[in-house]
Amino acid sequence: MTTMIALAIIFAFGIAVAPASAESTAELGKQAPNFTLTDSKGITHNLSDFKGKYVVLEWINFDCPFVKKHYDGDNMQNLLKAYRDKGVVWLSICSSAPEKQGNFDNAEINKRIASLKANMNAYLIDADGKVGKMYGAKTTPNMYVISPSGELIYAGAIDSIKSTDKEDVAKAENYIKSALDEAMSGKAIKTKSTQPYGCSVKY
Amino acid sequence: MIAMSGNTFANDKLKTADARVVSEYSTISPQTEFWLAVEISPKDKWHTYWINPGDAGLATSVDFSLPEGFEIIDTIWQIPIKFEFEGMASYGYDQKHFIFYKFRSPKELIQRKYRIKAIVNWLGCKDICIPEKKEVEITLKSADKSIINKDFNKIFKKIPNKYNGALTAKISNKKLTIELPNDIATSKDLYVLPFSEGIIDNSATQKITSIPGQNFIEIKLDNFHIEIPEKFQALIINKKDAKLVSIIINK
Repeated sequence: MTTMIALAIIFAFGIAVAPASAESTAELGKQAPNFTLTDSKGITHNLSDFKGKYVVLEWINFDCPFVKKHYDGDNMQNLLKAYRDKGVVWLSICSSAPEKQGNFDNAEINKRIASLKANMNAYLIDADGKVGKMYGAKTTPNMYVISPSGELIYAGAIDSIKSTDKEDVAKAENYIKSALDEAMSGKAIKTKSTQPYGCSVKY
Repeated sequence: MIAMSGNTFANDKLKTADARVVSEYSTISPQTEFWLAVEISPKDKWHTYWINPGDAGLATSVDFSLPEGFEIIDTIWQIPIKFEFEGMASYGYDQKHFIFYKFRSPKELIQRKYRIKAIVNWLGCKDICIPEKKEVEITLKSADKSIINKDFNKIFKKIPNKYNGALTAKISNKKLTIELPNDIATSKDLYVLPFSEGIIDNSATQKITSIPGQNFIEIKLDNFHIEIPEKFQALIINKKDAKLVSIIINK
């Protein structure tokens, strides 16, 4: 009976769920695929909850040297804070499978978040990789920006210098900053997609 | 063959690979073109990356410090292999391999010896990735006449062959279709590997089709592909060798 009611609700509200296939369905200029994931504090989030706001999706693996490049020098934390202060929702998503690098229990995740002083809205767990594959996330980091109307407006690298050196952060163009600044001021986004760089997502 | 090991940064023991530089010539004369090969040897189960690493990873880079008047005039990467994993693909090497740099010595060589240094940066990966680097150097003697190292030819292999003429291609329905000349379409087991990242879907099967008198290879574009240049270079790799081609997009 409960299952029937749940199914009825899904059909009534047209809630999309992650498809079983591994085919990426995210496309620039189209509605970002909806998903439901639970975060490291046990709270469940739907992407559709954040309609009306800019949303950044950040694929993450704390032990990847490319992620460390941006977290060790506080680049990611500063970027996060600057745009959260402007009302942007920041969702970090970890698609590392169990036993693979980056897959931690909630206690460890929350400990790492606290020690890095990273203030994302939520760290979402995608251990079966369905949402990662839905978005075609290949690397950590791999970034996506979604407009308040739900359109995917940027996909790709965090910045323009592919390296693991944190000294390169200051010299690089930050594509998330550029996309959000342009979109928020009503301008066309100059760079809508770039090739992401990083460690492979550990599906 | 003259080869020099180098200094490992910060006394860290290298975990994923080792590097050194070897020279075609032990002694060089003025205005000589010669090859230096940076040798990278991944350790067991580790791999490093080609110039286009594919879906993940980072290309090896070599930063040279050159004596005055020396210049690099060409670079050749050995043919990479494809690694497929978790619905993605990367390109690189899991065995000893070389990146070849063609040098030209200056018009005058006033010193008896010249030291060429380089910092080799690579990303070593297996189930995890570790960025590493090593400083390598080589000292070459100068004389009126160059002296070649006969052993160098033994390593100067697995080099793509430059193809004369450009291939034409078109883009439609999120696919890149390249016309293959008869002298390239000699095998069904070939694939196209652009030098630039972000053009093709690296894990998608590349489909060879034929109509009478013409052969094509159809390649799915990356879902979030970059702006595709009108002309770009690629390798066409089969089981035996690889051809370095230019591809021109017909609009």
